[in-house]
Amino acid sequence: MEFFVLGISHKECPVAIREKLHFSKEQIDLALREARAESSFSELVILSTCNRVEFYGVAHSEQEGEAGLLRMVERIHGISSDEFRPYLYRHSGTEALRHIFRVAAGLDSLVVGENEILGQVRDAFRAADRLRALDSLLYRLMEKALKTGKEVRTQTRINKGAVSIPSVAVELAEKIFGKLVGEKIMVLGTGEMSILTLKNLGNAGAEILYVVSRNQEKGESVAKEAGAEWVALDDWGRYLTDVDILISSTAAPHPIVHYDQVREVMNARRHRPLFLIDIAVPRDIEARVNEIDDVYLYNIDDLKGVSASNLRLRRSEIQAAEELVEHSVGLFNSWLKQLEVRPTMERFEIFLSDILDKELSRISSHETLDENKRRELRDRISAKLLHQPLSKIKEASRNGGVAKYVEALQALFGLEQKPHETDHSHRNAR
Amino acid sequence: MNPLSLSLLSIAQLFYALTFVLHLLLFSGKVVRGYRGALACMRLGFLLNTFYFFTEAVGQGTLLPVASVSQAMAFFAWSLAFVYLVLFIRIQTESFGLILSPILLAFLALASWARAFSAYELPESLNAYFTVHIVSAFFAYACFTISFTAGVLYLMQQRELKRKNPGQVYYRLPSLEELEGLIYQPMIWGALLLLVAVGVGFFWSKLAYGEFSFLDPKTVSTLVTAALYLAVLFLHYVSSQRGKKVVVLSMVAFGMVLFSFLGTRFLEGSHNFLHS
Repeated sequence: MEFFVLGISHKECPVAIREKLHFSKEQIDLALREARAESSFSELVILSTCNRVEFYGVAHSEQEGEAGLLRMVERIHGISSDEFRPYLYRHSGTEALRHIFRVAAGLDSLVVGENEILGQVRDAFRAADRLRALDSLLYRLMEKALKTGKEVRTQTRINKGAVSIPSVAVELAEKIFGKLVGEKIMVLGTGEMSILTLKNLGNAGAEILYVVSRNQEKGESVAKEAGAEWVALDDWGRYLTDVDILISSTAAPHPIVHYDQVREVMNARRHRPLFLIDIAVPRDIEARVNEIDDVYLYNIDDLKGVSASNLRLRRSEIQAAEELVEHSVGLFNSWLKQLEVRPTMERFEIFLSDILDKELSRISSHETLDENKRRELRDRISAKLLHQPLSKIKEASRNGGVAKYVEALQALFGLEQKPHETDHSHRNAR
Repeated sequence: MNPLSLSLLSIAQLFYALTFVLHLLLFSGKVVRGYRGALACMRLGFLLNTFYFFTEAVGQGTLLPVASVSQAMAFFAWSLAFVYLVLFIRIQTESFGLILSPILLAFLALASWARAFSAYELPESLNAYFTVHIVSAFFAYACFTISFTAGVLYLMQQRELKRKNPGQVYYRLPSLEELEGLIYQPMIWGALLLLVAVGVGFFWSKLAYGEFSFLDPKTVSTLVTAALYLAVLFLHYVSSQRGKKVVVLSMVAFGMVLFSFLGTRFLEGSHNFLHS
């Protein structure tokens, strides 16, 4: 049986193709049900996010598995595989293991270390488990991948620091005001980015108080949605004293928030901190405003700068995260090797037990040795004889070279492998 | 100082030095984990400092062995560690450890250095008042030191936010709001304890020396310190003043703490009536 990964991702595949291949929850369920009926693979997980569509499978052969999956994708999405085949990547064996561990760790993500992917991998795992598309191999692999994903995030700082502009604004607000609990916001202008930032701050716990815009209809609509009050663009100045966060993104050609005005406001606020977010280009707030004590002004370039610093911090943690991934890949490979050895070892145990049984039966016919004592003696001798070879084989499965021991055992004691025994051992390993 | 006390003091310094190094490594990003180790080192330092007082107390047959400069320095370090590790347990972060561990180390080093200086002769019969005076004064100073530490961290974080180029300081320090809380909360306790220390001190000096001693340098500077801290607390809590300027004023007040505690020793001694 071979473990393989087949997929497309943000790295090579354009969004126009990715969106055609995206699996909804219902489509994932349908595909997994079909996979159970399909004989070309025995286990399957489907991971579908906005940045990737990937299949993690166990098949009799990689080619068979791939062909089966492509047929399924064509059927479900009504798209010819020729359209997306150039963007497909395939991994098998250790490379496939490494890939899924890296995906769960966020190392393969568009934004390195993002947390969302870990939840998406968990959902994919649960869906496959719910529809019984998993057996021992993929089940354990997914469990280990999720565990590694968590470890990477707790033992390194790869997921620290916000990256998108709205989340950077929230992070900065939390660095100033702590946990946002009712800090009041005013937004000047109803541009897309300012509304997105407003919503992010609102979701983090801030209270949206005023929406200021020239267009009353649009302003009132945004204000209503946010549970705020609409204020006309000529009238906003007197409300500034009441708010802690001001987001500005008007189309004004010159600054509309001035140094003297903010200085006066700060005196009235008794220097309670004020966070100004200027997303407009050209800028809405005079740059000098940042010189006033307890005022924190961030324009779009500043926000991008923080985002870049956060990304640099994440990237500086990649090496440590990769080491954790490699460690997990090594452990999983070792487990796989032990699994491969298991049938041979089981046959060797039976072989020894048979010999001991025969010889002890002969003795027991002459001596007074009851059945229980005979069995006990057999098990003890068997355990003592097996202890050394088992330890050696376990060690070899960790450090490499296990195949020579297996071959030697098979050749010396005539322990040939019967068909499907490896598959059977996988099923019992979970 | 007996050899055992000296050894305990030296090993405590070693642990505080280790705490500082670990915090530096954490803060510089060279190591990601190790904060628990750093905290454990600080606790061990504190424990050794406690044992030091036991040995000194047993050696001198007194409850609170703080009659010499050396013992006073060591007791201040102990009080600071006690306030940080026991009373204000929730503020224990790597950023506080980074600032406090060198302060603890410095005071224990001063204690080792000053052990040759002679001790004051104190009236035995009034030991209880003296103990209350000393303990409340030292705990007040410890609270002010915690407040000062939060103030330093506040200004560091504020500078980082103004610079808009986040580095380790930005990532490691708590928010300005949290730091502000950690400036004023210990300050309230410090001010209350200082007022108790001043009141009991006057009473004790009257009983011990027959007069209220208002005019020695330490008493005057302590009164100025208390006035400054009360002014800061008034500005923050009554006048609702926030932000950098009040934090800076609190640091000026801490400058007076240092002057009261250390600086007055270079004028006419600590409390000059003790030498008369």
